[in-house]
Amino acid sequence: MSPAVLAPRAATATGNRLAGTGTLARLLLRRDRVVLAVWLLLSWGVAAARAGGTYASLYPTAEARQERYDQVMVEVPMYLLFQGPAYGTGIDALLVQESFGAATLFAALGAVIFVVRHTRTDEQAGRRELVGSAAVGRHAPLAAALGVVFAAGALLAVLTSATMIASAMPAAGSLIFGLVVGSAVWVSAAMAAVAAQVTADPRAASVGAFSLFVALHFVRGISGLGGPGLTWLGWLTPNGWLQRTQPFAGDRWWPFLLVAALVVILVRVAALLGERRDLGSGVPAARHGTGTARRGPGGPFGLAWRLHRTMALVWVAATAAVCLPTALAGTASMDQYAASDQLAEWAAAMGSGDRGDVLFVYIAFTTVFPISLYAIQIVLRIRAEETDGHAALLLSTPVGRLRWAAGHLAAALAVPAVLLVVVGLCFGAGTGDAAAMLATTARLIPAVWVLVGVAMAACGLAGRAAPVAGYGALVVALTVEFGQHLGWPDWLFRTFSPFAHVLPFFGTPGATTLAALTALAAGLCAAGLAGLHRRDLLA
Amino acid sequence: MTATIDITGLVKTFGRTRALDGLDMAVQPGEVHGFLGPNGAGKSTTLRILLGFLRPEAGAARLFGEDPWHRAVELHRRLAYVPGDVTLWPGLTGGEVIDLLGRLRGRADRRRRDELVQRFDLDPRKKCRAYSTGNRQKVALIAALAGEAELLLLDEPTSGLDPLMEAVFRECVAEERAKGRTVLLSSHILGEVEAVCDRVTIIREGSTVEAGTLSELRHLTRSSVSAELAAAPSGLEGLDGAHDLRIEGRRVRCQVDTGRIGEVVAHLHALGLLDLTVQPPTLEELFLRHYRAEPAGQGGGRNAVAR
Repeated sequence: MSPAVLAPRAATATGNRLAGTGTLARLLLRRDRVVLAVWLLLSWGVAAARAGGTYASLYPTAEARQERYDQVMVEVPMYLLFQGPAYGTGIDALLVQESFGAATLFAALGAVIFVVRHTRTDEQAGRRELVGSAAVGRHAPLAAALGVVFAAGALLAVLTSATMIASAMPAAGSLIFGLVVGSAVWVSAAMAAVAAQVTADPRAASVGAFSLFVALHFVRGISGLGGPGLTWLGWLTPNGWLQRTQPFAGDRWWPFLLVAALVVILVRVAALLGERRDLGSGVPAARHGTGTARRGPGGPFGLAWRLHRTMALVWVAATAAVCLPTALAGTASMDQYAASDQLAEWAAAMGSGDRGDVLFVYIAFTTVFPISLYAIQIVLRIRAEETDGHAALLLSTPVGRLRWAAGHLAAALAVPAVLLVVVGLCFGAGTGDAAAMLATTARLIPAVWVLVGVAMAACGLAGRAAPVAGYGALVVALTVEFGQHLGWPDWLFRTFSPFAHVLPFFGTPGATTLAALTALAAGLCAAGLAGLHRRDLLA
Repeated sequence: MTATIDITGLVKTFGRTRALDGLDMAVQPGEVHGFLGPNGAGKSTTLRILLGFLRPEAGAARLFGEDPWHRAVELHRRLAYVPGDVTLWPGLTGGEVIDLLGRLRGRADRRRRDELVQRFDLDPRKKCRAYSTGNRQKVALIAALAGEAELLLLDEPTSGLDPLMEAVFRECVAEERAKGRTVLLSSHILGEVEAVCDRVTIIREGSTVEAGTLSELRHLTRSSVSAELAAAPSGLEGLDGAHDLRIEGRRVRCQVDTGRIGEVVAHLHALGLLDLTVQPPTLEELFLRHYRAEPAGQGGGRNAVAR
């Protein structure tokens, strides 16, 4: 066979490293055409759905808009932390103020999952090797994943801008906001590309990259909350740059240059790391572990703990790292909210006279969403262990299915409880009353358990479709929470979200409520375990 | 005496696919039983039912005379399993997995474990994500063999092992047999089955096509006969019991029904026999005969085998 047959196209060294990228990109599109389309549609919806007049009807008059502006800027500190400042009193500026956080985070989530799924996950599963044995360049899989997701980001930017322009919003602001959402995709995808080179564990890569993006979002929030003295902090994060493009107000274009530079640097770093490491390994090469299990896992509970341990500790550390600075920055900025009527009202509803508590209680409350997400992930490990084939090996020993599942379920119940205690301690340091704050966060635990129960029931009863049901329950809970702000009826919120029953602004939840939630969670877990006991093991 | 494994009329469907379609199999205590069948014949499904992972739709599977679905945990105390596709927890070391499985099975014999680690030449300190297919298989095999279980369920346990390790595996199975253990070995490596198994069951499309000792199976089929005659023969075409007749000059080759060897040889003798070789069918021939047969229910299958 002549060399010409082996390398049908003469190519430069760079070209060789990228050989096959186009074919791989088509493969990715084929594999994920549905998921990709769903993610794009949802991201588009989060970014631009409210452009069509529904938002304007919430604030019909100039007074209403001014009131909303004051609410964001001087009345309610949560808005600065979670969403960011409003840069003008125009309806368009107010709209993007409200959409910024959700739109960028949602776009980033999909981008991270997609990039890791098509790089490190394929590598760990051994598919990368099969693909790599063909005439495919070293960087082709990464280039294909990034190419597809960058194109998806561009499409999202175009769709978002077009929707806004079509809703008669100013073109410059519309284009800038479209670019903001697209940039969220590009930056987070590039972060995921680096993470996928650094760690050999796909779960760690996706959770790590997305957590970093979320953490940078909050650094930006803390910067806003901290007032002028902390403005510099926001310039350290890409999320801060995106916010400070000020769509429909300042209309700045130049921060996108920073975004472009960061994306180029990250992609270059990922390529360099990819160049230097072996296929299948991370950047710190694999270490040897202990050759015996003398200190290793001794049973199904020990194994479950071992499997969840690292991630749980990372979550504890990350929770503390996010909550403690927020608490300290929040305390420093509380004085400026002394006159806020809204905070006074909520403080009264909570049965607390202190406006400062309101901020922390609310932030503590919002931590139930990421914590629930993580708890559901822990439960769904049961299904993942089944489909990976690990469960078959374990269950061929005298370990019953219930004991096996109980190990993971125990982790899913215990870890969120610990995390909420950490949240309570951190914000307790902010309010100065750790006991009261701990009591508040402890009351949130049963609501998280209800979602754990739903996920467990899904594992037992839905089997392969469990992730849809498990994460779906969280999406529903978030949707009705969001809908409640849009004026949807209360009963929707109360029926479909366990969090409605522990939301402190509705009054401190009583013992009966907490007992009922716990009982519901227990019932769901029992149903799931019973289902798991009865059905065929997934192959 | 109760059969260690007793399967009758087992049926399992996945959607429209009929994975098992009235499977029968019996494995007696102390026996090393080969379990053969083409890819997708239902071997792994059978093992998963025996382990209580799947619930059969019809028929019965009994392990030590008990129902594996309802008595899974009790039965698992007495067996060890090596899956066909060994996947391990990437973050644990091989040694940790072996010890974990040993502890779960409740019979962790330190000396036996170390001896097996040495014999299989495994580095137990490596993380499982760093192991090759063969090394992952070794981990599962060592864990299974170290447990001193009464029954070993092995699903193509050597598909990733090198010839040296395969020899070690054969030794280990022979030792298990000597200790009176029962082994069900699903395998594609016919030499291995021929070397270690007392009896075999061949399945195809979810049902049993053949079962018995290797010599019994050989009796069910044809021997190959190769003869050199004094002169080019004629009139052999109509010879009863001879099949696939090929004549090249004075050399004659054919397949002969086992019961009719005498007749055929007598006939050849009459033609002036110079040289004669009669070979019993190899397992491979037996195997190919079943594998190549038309799908069951179309007049092939069983009938293709001369009975």
